[in-house]
Amino acid sequence: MISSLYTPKPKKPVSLTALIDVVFILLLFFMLSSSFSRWQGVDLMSPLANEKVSGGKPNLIRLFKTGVMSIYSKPDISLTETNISSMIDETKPSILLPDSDVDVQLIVSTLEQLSNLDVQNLSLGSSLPAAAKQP
Amino acid sequence: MNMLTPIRKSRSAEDNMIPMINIVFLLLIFFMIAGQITSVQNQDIVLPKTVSGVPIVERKVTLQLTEKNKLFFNGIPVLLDDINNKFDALDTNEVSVSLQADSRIKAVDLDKILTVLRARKIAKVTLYTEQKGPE
Repeated sequence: MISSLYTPKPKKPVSLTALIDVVFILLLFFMLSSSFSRWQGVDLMSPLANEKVSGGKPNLIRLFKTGVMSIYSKPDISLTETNISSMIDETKPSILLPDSDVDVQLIVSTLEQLSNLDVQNLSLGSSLPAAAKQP
Repeated sequence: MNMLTPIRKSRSAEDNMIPMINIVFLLLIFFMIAGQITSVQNQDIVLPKTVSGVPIVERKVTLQLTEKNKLFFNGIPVLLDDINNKFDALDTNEVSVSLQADSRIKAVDLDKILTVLRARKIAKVTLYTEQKGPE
């Protein structure tokens, strides 16, 4: 009688089925909700019309659909990595003026390219009518 | 002779499932660590790609502009003329704006939104981009 009281009960093995169910649900959740593309942000500075630009007259850089950049007043001379430092006064703020038919990808790439070339105080201005003759 | 052949234990169904559970666990850990849980992005928008960028900070207002020039204000479709009413409905005057613009839209369409924002004295907009992978 006494010995039967102290006899340990045989352990019932834990069923794995419930665990698998939960793990599958978690797996489905993470597979469907997670994204592998890394988002990041680019700050677009868009100067206000009545804002006074500090540092004098800004450099106006025109961007054509072909990806060619030029100084607004000298559309015939293309800006390149080699001549940009001589064409632009780096102490002054710069405003990028894309043609109306330039797409956003090109604008963003150009802003990134200019900031890599140490063009300071860069902002995005209004779009210009598309040039009839692309350089 | 028969004594040399090992006695093959019959494996239960749960024993057979253990390798599968191991793999499912590994997949779960992979998706938990490598994935990034993000809010659902508008499927019509292909974000522009950049190499560098700043980490995304959640803004008060998120504008989305699709390739077909459909505009969304915090996920709700709006017309360009109604954006001002949406801004007015916000309970604060200090509004930070992020913009998810399709990489294929033209500068003239982007300019329409920036013009509205400039009129509301919002000069800084965070443009969402996607990190460019290795080429």
